[in-house]
Amino acid sequence: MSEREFVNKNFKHIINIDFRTKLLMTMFLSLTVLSGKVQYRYPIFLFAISVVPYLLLLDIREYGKCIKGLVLTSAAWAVSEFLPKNTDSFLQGILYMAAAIVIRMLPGIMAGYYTFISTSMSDMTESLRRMHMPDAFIIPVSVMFRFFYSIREDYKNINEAMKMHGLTFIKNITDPARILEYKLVPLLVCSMRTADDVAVCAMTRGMVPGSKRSSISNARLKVLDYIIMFLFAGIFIYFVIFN
Amino acid sequence: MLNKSRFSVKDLVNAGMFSALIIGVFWCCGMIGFIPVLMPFVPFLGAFCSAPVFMLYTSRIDKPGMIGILGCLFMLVFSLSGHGLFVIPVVIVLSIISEIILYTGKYKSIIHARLAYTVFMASSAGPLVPIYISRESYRQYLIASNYGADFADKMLAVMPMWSFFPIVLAGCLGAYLGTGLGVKCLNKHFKKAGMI
Repeated sequence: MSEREFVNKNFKHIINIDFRTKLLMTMFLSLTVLSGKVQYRYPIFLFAISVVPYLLLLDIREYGKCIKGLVLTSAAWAVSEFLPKNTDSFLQGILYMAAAIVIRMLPGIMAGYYTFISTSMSDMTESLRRMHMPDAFIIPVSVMFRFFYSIREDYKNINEAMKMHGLTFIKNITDPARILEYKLVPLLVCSMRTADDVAVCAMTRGMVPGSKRSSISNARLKVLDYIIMFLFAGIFIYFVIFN
Repeated sequence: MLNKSRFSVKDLVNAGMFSALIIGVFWCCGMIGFIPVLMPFVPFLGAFCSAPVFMLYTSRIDKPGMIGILGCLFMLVFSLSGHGLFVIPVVIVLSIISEIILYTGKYKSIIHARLAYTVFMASSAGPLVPIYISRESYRQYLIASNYGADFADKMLAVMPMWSFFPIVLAGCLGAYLGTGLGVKCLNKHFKKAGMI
């Protein structure tokens, strides 16, 4: 199984925006989509805004997630707009609510996913440092996002090992109490050892929180960044606050 | 000029890793919330499953500020992934209270750790708040489209307004029960840290 890189640098990205811009864009996008007023007064506009993260995902060549997301979003919008609202069926109420959750939450989740997948670690830490965030925040953030991958790999291995002990996927549903003891605890112990190794490595490389460090990245705010920031801020202010 | 931080690298790496685990476990439990009938149970289940991880984290804390870092990362992940900004003030207040509780226990007491987690997980219902807020605008939309107020109330009967407080309480209850289970599972680690 090939090791998936954090950022695939083998091709040129068309849209090169700074990490700070991506954060602001995610925040304004998720706030606009979450607001109930926009969904009912300007549905076409909201659908257009929900598609934006998938276009960005196309830029970083994540075709699978882009297509799946677009299909799910379109299905949710179709359910919420075209399903008749004057029936009594309980199943329909549940379907409607599931569609509402997808419409409200999925664009924000996808925009956040794009933010963290398309930024390399050095760019992320440099942008956070330029925002004058303390080291006590930058180091845990970068460790956390790196650890999500490592935890996923460890969990996959533990899952495979536990299959040999008889804990298959069906057993997960019929006997859920064993998940906590046989999968979570080994994951915790394994992650603790990884964390200790990482801490020792960092100390060996001379990392002291609070001291100045050089960086290979040249993260700067360019014209495109300001355009995107003001555009999304303007959208949020106009559609959510002034309406 | 060397501006040394209060935390060492080991503390910050531990904070990052345990935050990743706690948020990851909470998020996976939150996935069952996509089935709307199970959504009220998300805080209970999330707090229950993240409890052993948090207890292990407290066994490796020896200075104030670590729960604050966990709270900041919790806020960051849940506000940026489309759960609204309501989590931010709630988590700030509850992290400060948890820090005070742990500080009075001198980082060596199991009871204080359990209480600190129960208080912290009162914010587990925070990500669900936007659903309650948007219900009001959906109700007004239904009324404005001439469907009538009683039809609107019937459609929204799945999760009524008064169910918010019991959900928060269920989150705290799940947190307390989960810490009991966590202490039993990870007994060895707590003995090594000198907390039992």
